[in-house]
Amino acid sequence: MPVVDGEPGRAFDLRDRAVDVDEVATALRGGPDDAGDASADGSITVRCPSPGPVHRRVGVVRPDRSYPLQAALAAAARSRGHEASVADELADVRRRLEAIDPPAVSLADERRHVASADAPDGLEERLASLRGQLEIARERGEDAEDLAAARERAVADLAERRTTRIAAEQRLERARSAARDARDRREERLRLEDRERNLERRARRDLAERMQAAFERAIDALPGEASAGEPPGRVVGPDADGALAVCRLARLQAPVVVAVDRFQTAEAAAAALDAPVLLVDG
Amino acid sequence: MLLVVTYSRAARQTLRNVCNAHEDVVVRRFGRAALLEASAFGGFLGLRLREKHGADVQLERTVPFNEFEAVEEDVRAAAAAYEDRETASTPYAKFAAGTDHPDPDALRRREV
Repeated sequence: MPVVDGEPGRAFDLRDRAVDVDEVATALRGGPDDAGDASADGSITVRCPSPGPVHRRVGVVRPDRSYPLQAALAAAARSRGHEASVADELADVRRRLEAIDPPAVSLADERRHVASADAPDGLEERLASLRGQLEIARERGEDAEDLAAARERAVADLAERRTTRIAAEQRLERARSAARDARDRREERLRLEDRERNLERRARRDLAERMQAAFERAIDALPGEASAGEPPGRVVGPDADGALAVCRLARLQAPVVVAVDRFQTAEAAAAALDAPVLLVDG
Repeated sequence: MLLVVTYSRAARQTLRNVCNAHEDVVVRRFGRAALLEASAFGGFLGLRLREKHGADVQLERTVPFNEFEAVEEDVRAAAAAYEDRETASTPYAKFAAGTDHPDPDALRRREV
């Protein structure tokens, strides 16, 4: 049972208190200090079970805003123990998603090595020029020992650079094939994520459909002019009335914050919504 | 051109946003992949995506395929002849057997 400012109860009328709907909602969610017993400015404290999926979608009812009613209806269905027809399939997809842990793929080092192992500036030109000079020197019968040694060194340098480059290319190639396997896993994960999302959508639609008749009755039983529309979750009239109807259908532990002018008393609201209520000014 | 392939929902969404914002650089879009122009700006966009999404973004550079350079005459002839075959259900291996056309394993061993 919720406790507001130290007082337990199911129906609280806060309309004469100097707190607005946002402060109450914050206090209810545990507030910024996460302790659940102080609002932002300490003007109200609310202790209650932490808000669940229904509460997160429609637990703070204020005029002039829209609500994700289909998702809320589906959550309400779940709160009453309904399961979507695709629940098993969804659980299976989530299990498989959980099991996929694709290794990181980064070939940046390998690519950098290949790029920096490129033939050094002018080494080939230098070798060609040394060859030319050597030939000329020999034709003239000059001593070409130094030139020959320089040429030998240039040949060795070039060979070494080429070996380095080939090794770097081979390393990159091996890394690329390993990356391909890792990307297969990532691709599979993306496929499963898309599948998960489609199943979630189907589950929502399915559960909301199953609640439609009850939703129509709930919306008719509550004050306000709204009526249920099609597809399930659609409301003809203010969305807030649809939100109240979902609250009436759901099993709620945390109190609904009602900031719409539909009920005379907090007790009447709690009875109509079959849930704990904090009535506040809209 | 630059080929950008994405491997997560978030990376795919960013790629979509990038493509929408820079249509002039986008040569072709394919769902979770796109071909960008081979300019430094295309490279910049690809790198930006990889900075943001790491391994969920793959960047490759494509080269045009010139069949007169990349493969030999017998490969071109085999492709033309196979597409002109009489029975649609004949697999290539069977089609090539006993002819001058290269068999599929030989083709696999040859690089373009």
